[in-house]
Amino acid sequence: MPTKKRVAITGLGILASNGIGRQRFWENCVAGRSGIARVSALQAQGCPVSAAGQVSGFSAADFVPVKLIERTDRVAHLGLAGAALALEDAGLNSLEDWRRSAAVIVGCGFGGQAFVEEGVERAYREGMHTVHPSSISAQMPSSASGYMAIVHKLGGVNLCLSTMCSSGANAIGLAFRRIQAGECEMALTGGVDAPITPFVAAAYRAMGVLASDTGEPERIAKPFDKRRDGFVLAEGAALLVLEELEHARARGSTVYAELVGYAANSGTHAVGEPDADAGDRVRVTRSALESAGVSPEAIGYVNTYGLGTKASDSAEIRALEGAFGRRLEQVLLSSSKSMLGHSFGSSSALDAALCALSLHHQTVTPTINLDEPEYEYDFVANRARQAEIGYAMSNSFGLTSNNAALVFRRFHGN
Amino acid sequence: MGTEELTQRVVAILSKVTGKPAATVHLDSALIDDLELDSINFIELDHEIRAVGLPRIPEADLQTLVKVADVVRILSKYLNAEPAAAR
Amino acid sequence: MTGGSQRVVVTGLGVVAPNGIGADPFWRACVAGRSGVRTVDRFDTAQFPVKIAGMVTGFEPAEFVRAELVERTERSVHLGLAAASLALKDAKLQDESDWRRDACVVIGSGVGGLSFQELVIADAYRGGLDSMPAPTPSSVPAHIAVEQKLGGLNLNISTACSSGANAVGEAFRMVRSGEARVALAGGVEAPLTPYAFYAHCALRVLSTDAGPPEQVSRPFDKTREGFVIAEAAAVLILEQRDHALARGAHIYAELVGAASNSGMHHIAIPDPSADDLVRVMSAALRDAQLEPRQIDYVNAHGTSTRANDHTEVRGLEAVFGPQMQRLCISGSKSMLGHSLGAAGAVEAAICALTMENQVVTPTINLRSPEFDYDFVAGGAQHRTVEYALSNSFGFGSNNSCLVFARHA
Repeated sequence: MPTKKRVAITGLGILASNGIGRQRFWENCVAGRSGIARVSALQAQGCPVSAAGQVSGFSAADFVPVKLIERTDRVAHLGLAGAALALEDAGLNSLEDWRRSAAVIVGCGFGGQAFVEEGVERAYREGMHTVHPSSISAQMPSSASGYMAIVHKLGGVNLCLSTMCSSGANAIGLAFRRIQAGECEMALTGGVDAPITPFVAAAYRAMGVLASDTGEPERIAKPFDKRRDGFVLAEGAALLVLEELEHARARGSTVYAELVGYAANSGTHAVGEPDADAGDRVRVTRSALESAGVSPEAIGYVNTYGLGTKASDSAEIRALEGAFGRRLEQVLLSSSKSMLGHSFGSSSALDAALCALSLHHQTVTPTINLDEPEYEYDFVANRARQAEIGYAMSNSFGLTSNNAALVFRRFHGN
Repeated sequence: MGTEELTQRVVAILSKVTGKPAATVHLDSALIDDLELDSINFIELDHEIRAVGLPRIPEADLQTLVKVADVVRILSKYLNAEPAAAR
Repeated sequence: MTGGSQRVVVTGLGVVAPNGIGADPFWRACVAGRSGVRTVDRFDTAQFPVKIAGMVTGFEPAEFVRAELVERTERSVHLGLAAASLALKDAKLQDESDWRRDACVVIGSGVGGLSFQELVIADAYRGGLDSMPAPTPSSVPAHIAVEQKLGGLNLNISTACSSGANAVGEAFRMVRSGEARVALAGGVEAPLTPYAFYAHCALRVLSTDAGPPEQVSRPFDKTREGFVIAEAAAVLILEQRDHALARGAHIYAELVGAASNSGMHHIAIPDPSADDLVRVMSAALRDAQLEPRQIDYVNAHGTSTRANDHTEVRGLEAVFGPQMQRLCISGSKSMLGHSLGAAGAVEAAICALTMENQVVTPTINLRSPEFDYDFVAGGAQHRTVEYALSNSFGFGSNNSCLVFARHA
């Protein structure tokens, strides 16, 4: 059996509610700065909530060919921006030969959501003749991943996958496996979503999973806190460049961290409801550790799914206890959704980026708004912590019975 | 509608559809060679034209358009043919 | 996980298509050249430039889906659950439970839950709001995993018209690598609601031919001028060969290669050079460790658009060279229409059935072929088919290719 290749993370392109660009994003996460704010457009559209994690200060024209802006949805704009930033961060703008076989595997939960909502409403109000010719290519979830390949001339495997909250993690996992197996040397992977829209807000509100929309917006998302009552809708893009390690070394690129394990599975109780015994989540955690060849004792930091609903957080703790046992008391835990909100297709990719950066900087970012923790574990409450971490893990326990886990290792230069 | 106003409308639509500044869209600009319209742009062009109440350009005519001036000419022809009806 | 490289076979088929529900009725209809394209009767098309579609008829959700789920979900979930259920039954995997713990579900769809969203928005949000993830593409595989108690990865692949083929390709890789012993791989598309339908009209990819509906989809014909949109669902059971043999399973065919790429060209227009099609077919053949001359049958993407069919033939010529003359090429969309994200899976099912029966199905409506090759225009024929190749090319320059082998 051929040996598995090592997989390095060599570029990060981030657009999050609290910052555009890897550096700004990292600094703000370390500082515990929330990106959640009142979004006036939502209020104007009669949305039941108005606090959301929007990527602010974003100009599509900075990243998207002008001709494409009108005919695509914000999801493609954010995705293309993330791709451009990731390739630039990896120092890959000029190298040509790798492009023809570079894989693009991207997660997206919704697709061109705003385009659809506006288009359908106008069509039913004014007539079908108002339907824009680019409606299908703007709506399809593969709009972002398709355009990434077209604009950046990336000609290898091209996939868009959707597993809601774990889309980014699964995309990264599939890319990881291909590089491990020696099937390609480079992959652009991660996730993107732009679901801050009236329909999506109304739907999650109807399901009773959105946090109460009152008070200071930065204080609304409170995963693992006794007062928590839901999540905050957000958008984002996190694109990672994964590269076979020898290839990365040969061109002298920065290695933020290594990706060493991945597993994914399904809960089977009910779509949208975690299995009561968390058996599926324990299994995925164990499988991910097994695939990385490490035991739970090696993990110093878990970037949790940390959604912020009563049910999800308690199910997650049960799962972590099942996988780590007493060891959980020594593990640092944090939830980025406390600062960023829940950005669906991009959330698990943002978390993967955070794991890589945490290992690179040996610093764990905080769970903010944690004033009354419900569980007696170390959630790095409210302030970032410097810590010596060898291995980190990222969990995504999705609202569609989809679970994924990624394991990362600090890169020491060898 | 006078030719000047029609020209302005067409220029505005082409600017929107191609993303090029209106100042760079001239009557003798070639749609494909200068303004880089692709086949989807031609469909978008027709869509936007109808969205502002101008007549539909039949498929056969759409194929013959080479310059901006051709678009103005064709629309003018259909406008004058049906002065009372925009759609 | 056993690791290494497992051989992968197709042991079950579940098909819900415009010309038949269930693998047997579907196959018989395809062999007979029976079209499933009809005049749309689900909504008023008076103001639409196109009035036909490939429609699944005689489908009763209650036969396949429990009552409260029928209410809470929409057509794509119904079709998907039906196809999955039919496939598992066909594979005689309904009772066995051991393999379910790591079984994967990979389903392709192009527009996902667009139609569901449309109907909720059109109804001014009066109902259906509490059914997330129904409006999203992840809904179908999630429901299949839960209803069938399948504990491995479940995911949706969304790459427009190549989704179904990519889904089969990804599931194939999971079984081949040993991650799962069994995978449900397929595609589902239910886009026949006014906005979703009109959006395809607006892109001007649909044929506006007002002739008899069943004659409009005519891939490779000189007079073709667009595709016919359709709905469908197909699920294939992919299984490790050892596992299948051990339980005495019926084997339709072996899946031996898969590849995917981007043409890097345009979101809706194929690259006329066909360079990307050549690359993807060559990559799939390499993955299968086969030479082009070993392929006997090609199930073409064959949408019946001017651009696709022309470019596809150029690509096939570049790959097969003089071998083109001995190939049989089917354009199945001539009978089924183009079911977008489901098409690649439906056509994979046709390949599996072709391998088993050693019969190639026709390209119907081919009265004035533009290209001088054997498109099986005269009706289904017995042929020796040792190896087959299936193409699916999607919007976004997304290409996917699968290679099948006869299972002795």
